[in-house]
Amino acid sequence: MKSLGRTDLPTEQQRALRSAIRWEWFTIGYTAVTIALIAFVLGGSQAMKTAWIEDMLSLIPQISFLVALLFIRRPPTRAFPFGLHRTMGVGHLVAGVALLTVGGTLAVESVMGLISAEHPAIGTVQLFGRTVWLGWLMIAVMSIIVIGPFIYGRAKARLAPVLHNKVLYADADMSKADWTTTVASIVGVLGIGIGWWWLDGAAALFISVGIVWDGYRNARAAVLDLIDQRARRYDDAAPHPLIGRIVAELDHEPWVDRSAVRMRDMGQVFHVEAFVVPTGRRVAVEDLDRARRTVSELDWKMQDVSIVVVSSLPEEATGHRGRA
Amino acid sequence: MPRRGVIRRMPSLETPRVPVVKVWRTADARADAGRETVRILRRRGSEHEPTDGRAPVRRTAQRHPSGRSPAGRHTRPLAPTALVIGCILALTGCGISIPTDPDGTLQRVVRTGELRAGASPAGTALVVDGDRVSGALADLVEEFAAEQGARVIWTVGSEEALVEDLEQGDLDLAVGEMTDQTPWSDRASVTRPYTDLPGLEGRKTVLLLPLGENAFQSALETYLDEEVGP
Repeated sequence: MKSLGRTDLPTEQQRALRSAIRWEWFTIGYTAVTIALIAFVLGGSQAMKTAWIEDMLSLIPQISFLVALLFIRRPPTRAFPFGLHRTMGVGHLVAGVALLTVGGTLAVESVMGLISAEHPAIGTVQLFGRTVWLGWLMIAVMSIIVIGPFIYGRAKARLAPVLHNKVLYADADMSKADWTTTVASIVGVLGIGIGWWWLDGAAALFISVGIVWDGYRNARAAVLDLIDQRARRYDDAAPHPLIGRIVAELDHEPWVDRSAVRMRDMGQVFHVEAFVVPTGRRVAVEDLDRARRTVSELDWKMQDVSIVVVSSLPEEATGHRGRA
Repeated sequence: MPRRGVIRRMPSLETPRVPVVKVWRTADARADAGRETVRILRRRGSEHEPTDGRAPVRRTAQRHPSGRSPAGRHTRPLAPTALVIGCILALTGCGISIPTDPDGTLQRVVRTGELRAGASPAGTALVVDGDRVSGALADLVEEFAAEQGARVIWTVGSEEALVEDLEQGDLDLAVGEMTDQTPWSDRASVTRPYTDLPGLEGRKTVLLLPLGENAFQSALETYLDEEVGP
């Protein structure tokens, strides 16, 4: 995969993207094994059930990333003149909403279980001719699967900034926090083991609140990008530094008096509208073309650059009105 | 004819709902309940007729002052730190047995020497004849009770009535023709299915227990694994 839309990816990004695809497939495989393993030991523990469903939900970001990649690589067409980059944002939103609703349902379920004082039941299994309490197997399985997310979570967290991919970043972020889910489910099962039935419901509530929180963050980030908030860093921590660099670059042109930029995040690449107030009354087409090329070459993420010559800068672009 | 412990008839549609038990032990015998229990269960099939002419005793909570387990109560949390200590103790195996019953059913059965079992008829495996509960399945439950040093107090009723009793803590287990497809699984703990239970071969029979009494369930499943195989 060498290009995204009409953008040719630099070597570093090509390598990162290939790596990201491999990691996403690895994650899907690992999670599928995890889900199957937990299914074997699933007893009456609400915490285990919640952790199990969380594992299933955690597949959505990976699947939406891989599906969106199929679309965003296509060049713009007459029917889709901006390319199909927004599919990444749609996938992000779907993942967020799924986490939000299922997490909410699970939270309600665990609260209801706690209120009605439902005692979770965990029986035994016959293992190599011996009768073993299923709770021990649950703890064993959860202790084994806790390792995976540390490995792929860190790998994806390294790739997400290189690719400026928020789905990948959110996915990595959730993976890195996944151990809390696993530990909580172990605590829940141990609680059942020592006769503290409520600990299971409390652990389930903890896990589901975590899912809801992930869902809220993801849905919010996706919606903000889909409604074209000012482009921000991959982790949404600050406005994207490229905005400042574009303005500096344009201001450097001898024919430009002042400039301002409106930049939106299309999912992985940016659309840039640069407003320039020229020094004189005439602007040469070559100057405009050169400026456009300069901005495009600033970064591989510059998908579409339009330069608009104006007599005064729009306020929302300069940041003189509202939040910068 | 064998007479096994106290029989409580569940009220049928025709009879008024006045649960009545017939107590067959004399007051003297009751004082010596533990020893007698062992003898009765070991000599199952011999004559143990109830002492007749005794007024039926209404089954009330007073008959089982220990009733709902106080044993479960002292395992309640004392402080948040107890959780950490509890986990560590449990993991290192220092004195806390895992699993433990939240309501202490197993402890109570062992302490009081009484296992309150509910029976719903199941072909020849569990036959209810008047006040008598018999059959291979009933024997199995009584042998399990004997292993805990307890005798069985039978309650006969429909599955739903038995499940209600399980929920209210009036029964320790229920046995009958329930299979692993039982609709009661969200109101009672369901054991693993056993296909070789005497008289119910080939059927995936399960026993019902109070929800979440995991030590008791483990004890029963361990016993059944040994006796009839998984």
